[in-house]
Amino acid sequence: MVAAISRWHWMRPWVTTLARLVLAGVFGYSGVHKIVNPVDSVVAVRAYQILPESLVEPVGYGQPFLELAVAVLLLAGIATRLAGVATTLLLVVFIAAVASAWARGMSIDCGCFSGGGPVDPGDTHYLRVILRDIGMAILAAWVAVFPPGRFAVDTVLDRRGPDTGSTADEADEHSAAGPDPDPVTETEITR
Amino acid sequence: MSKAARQQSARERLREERRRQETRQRTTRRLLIAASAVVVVAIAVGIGIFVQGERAQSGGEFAGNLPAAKKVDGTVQYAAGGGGKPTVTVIEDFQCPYCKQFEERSGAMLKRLAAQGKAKVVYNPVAIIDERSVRSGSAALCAADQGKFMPYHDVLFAKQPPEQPVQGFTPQQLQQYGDQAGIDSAAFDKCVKQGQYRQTITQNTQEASQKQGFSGTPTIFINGQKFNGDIFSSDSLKQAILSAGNNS
Repeated sequence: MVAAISRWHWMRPWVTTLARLVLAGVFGYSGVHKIVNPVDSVVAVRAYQILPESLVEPVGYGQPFLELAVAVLLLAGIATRLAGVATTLLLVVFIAAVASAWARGMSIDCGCFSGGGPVDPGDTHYLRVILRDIGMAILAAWVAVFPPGRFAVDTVLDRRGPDTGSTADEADEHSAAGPDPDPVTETEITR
Repeated sequence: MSKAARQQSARERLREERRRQETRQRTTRRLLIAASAVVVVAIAVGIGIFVQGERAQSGGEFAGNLPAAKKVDGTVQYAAGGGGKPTVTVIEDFQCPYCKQFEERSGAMLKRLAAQGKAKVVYNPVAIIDERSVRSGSAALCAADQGKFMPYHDVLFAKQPPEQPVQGFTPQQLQQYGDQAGIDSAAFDKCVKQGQYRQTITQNTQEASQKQGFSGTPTIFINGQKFNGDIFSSDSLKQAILSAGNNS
């Protein structure tokens, strides 16, 4: 029992770090690609036929920057909890959009990384895309629940200033890169 | 209570107070970090939307003057200056979604090359989707008679109706789009209504389907050779056209 708990405490921050790296890689790649090819991004957004035309371009142009920003925050571990929440929401929106295209019987490319726009009916991969996005949403939710993980700027910023009297919970984590935020402070932030 | 015990409890209270204060400070610091992150990201996204919009303006729109259009058989040709430049043939169907996508990405680039005299651009309207393709293609050739092929062509792609349900590109709409393209002519209305170039579009389609490498719309030929690169990449198409120009 004790061993299981201490292993959990040891692993948790590392799982967060791994999740951050995976999400940062995916969103960073996608964001950069769409920033380089803004027309792709606009075509992809328009293909869903959800937004009114006046919003298609701003969303198509802006959303890749949001993806890139989230990737940078996750990679560095800055405002990690917030970045995790934002990523989760972003993925929920993506899943809803793909599901809606699927439900409406449309044949479009999800435009997840590039491309986008209409495709042949046989070339849609809605289920695969949704499953992949759900997997990533779980990672993002993990980051939101257990921030900031190892190697996070947040940890460094937290340590600055007067040395805090460490709680028993933190004490056994001091050995590695730094303490997780203690439970009291965490709940205060979410409140 | 002994003096020592009193000192002990006072020290503990002091420590407790300091710890609470530090927790508050840490919370404030985290909120500040989160708020700064939100502000920075919002600014980045705002600047991004603006910059990308500007880029699209310069890359996606063509503001210059096209050379005069020449109608040759069922095609409309744009070429500035003398010969010796690559001929780019664009086989398009106004009802085809991929053609719309192609136009969005490469339309302005082709106009620019034509205006700069770096390419002769030939638009070859065909009908491979349905009756609406024949109607709109024919109407586009009517617009060419009025010297307004390109503006009409652009309006048609901008207004392209979805493939299903079969609405849009009605004869009335095709006439109205003429107004939007700056055509004010009874001859145009009559030409559209009578479907004067329906036969030409059908013939274009037949001829195109016999061309080596024709594989639906859009298909691009550079000096008669099918362009096999990524048809939706404006840059790679431009490179292929320019290098064909250098080799000839």
